[in-house]
Amino acid sequence: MSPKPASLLLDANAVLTAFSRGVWDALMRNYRVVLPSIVVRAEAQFYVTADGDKKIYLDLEALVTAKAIAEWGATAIQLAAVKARFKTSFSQGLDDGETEAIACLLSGAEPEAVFITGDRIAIHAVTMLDMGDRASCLEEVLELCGHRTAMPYEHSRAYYKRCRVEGGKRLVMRDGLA
Amino acid sequence: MPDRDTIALAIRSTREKQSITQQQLAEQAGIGSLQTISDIERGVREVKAWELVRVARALSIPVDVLLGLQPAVSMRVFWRRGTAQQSRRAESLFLERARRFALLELWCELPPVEPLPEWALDPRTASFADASRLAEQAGQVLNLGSRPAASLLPTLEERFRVKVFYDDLGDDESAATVRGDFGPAILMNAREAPWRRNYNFAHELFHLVTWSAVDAHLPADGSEPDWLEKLEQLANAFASRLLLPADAVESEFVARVREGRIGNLELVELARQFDVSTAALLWRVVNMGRLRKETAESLLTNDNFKRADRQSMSDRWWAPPGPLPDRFKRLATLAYRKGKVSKARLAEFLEVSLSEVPDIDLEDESVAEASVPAA
Repeated sequence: MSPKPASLLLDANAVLTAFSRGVWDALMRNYRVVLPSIVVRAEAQFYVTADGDKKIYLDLEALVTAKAIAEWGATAIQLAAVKARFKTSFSQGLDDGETEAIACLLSGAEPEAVFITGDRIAIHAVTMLDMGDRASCLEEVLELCGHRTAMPYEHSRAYYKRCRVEGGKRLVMRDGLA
Repeated sequence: MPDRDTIALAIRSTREKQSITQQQLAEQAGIGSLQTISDIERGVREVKAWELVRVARALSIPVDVLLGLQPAVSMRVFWRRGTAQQSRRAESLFLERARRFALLELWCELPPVEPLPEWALDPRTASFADASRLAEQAGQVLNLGSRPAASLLPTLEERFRVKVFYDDLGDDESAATVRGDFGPAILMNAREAPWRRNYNFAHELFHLVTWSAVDAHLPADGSEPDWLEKLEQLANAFASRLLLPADAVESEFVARVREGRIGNLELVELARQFDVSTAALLWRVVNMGRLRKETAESLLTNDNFKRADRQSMSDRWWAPPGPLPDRFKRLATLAYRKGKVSKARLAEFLEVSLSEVPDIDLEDESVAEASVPAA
């Protein structure tokens, strides 16, 4: 198991899953949580409870204002710089929050942050940029703080490892890189 | 790489093309005041990533267009009626959906298909007879059979990858067509009466199969040609002929005639058999010389006849069409499973929020990746 990171940088999918599975508080207690501005202001709007019964609206901006979580915002040009690292057909599959998260990793603004995602293409992307050690999955970081909650497969260690291997092959073949 | 001015210009020009004010854009994007938009458009300050995303959504165009990483889709879209301001927004969304559809086809590595054929037709001099002949040819080449309405949409979508979308176009417009880099596409009005849908598909097909021919005769200065109204009439004639092939209609009509008369309910049943409106059927048989014009007019204003007509209509006609075709949604899900697109991007394509994306089983990837030898 990897050492426990100090900060987590989450994409929208990871945020909503953390809320719906009731592990968001555990993440906030054990880590410094950083969110890309696009996730805060444009992507993670509400989640559905695990039983599928209720829709709960989020106010992530309020959490940022209260300094409960941190927000990192790229400029439009920084977003473009990330996209330019990949072929268009690849970069168009990444969502904007993920692209901004990668911009954050590349900027050096959050040197200790680990990017948490369950998206195959995002895991490929960070691996293809040779930053695979700067990413992880929800299951891993929850276990690192002693929290064992069943996660959907996309957020599992097994899926993450599989996607990392795929991303590694793409890096070698330069498949999808500009 | 884009710079501040490039992005500023892209935002301003897109906004102006859609006839939206800075105030409206600020409100729709939820990014503060008119001043914020003004500052951004004058290149006075950097655009933040989240602002760019909200502006792109408000303008219904990809972020990549505003970043100059992807050319703006700029092509002739043919609208059937009206050019209300709403059309420009609807047009922008229509073109973006068509572009996404083509992207999904690329990501899913679909094999190439035969292009939708085109035929020569001079809109200035073509006659209704020409349109009818064209319909006959099209029906044969497209292999629509004797009940073309039943196979028209599946043939267009599956065999020729015509992208068909629905949108609420108000009471003004009824449809739009385009032939772009993404292939041929049709936008239908979700408000259109259900019994007109097949007819409208056929009408729009006329525009698609005469696209280049009509293009060649459009005035260079962009003004509206004087043969536009006639073009629409030719499209109507085409649609009627395509969906109601003379031989098949004649045969069915004659089989129902008893002692020189045909029952009103038989006429309704005939319309249902060919999956067209009763009006379309009646006017077709009038044109074929099988019914008098006065008889058709009388039936179409007869309450009992109209009631029988309504009662005979298929349930599926009444199901309001969703904006995205099933094939689009299937390909989007497949692209996600193949790891070509993130979940949030999938949500964007499906036009739902991230939490509303249906659960997709990724665990058994052996199913997704499995293959068998082909004979």
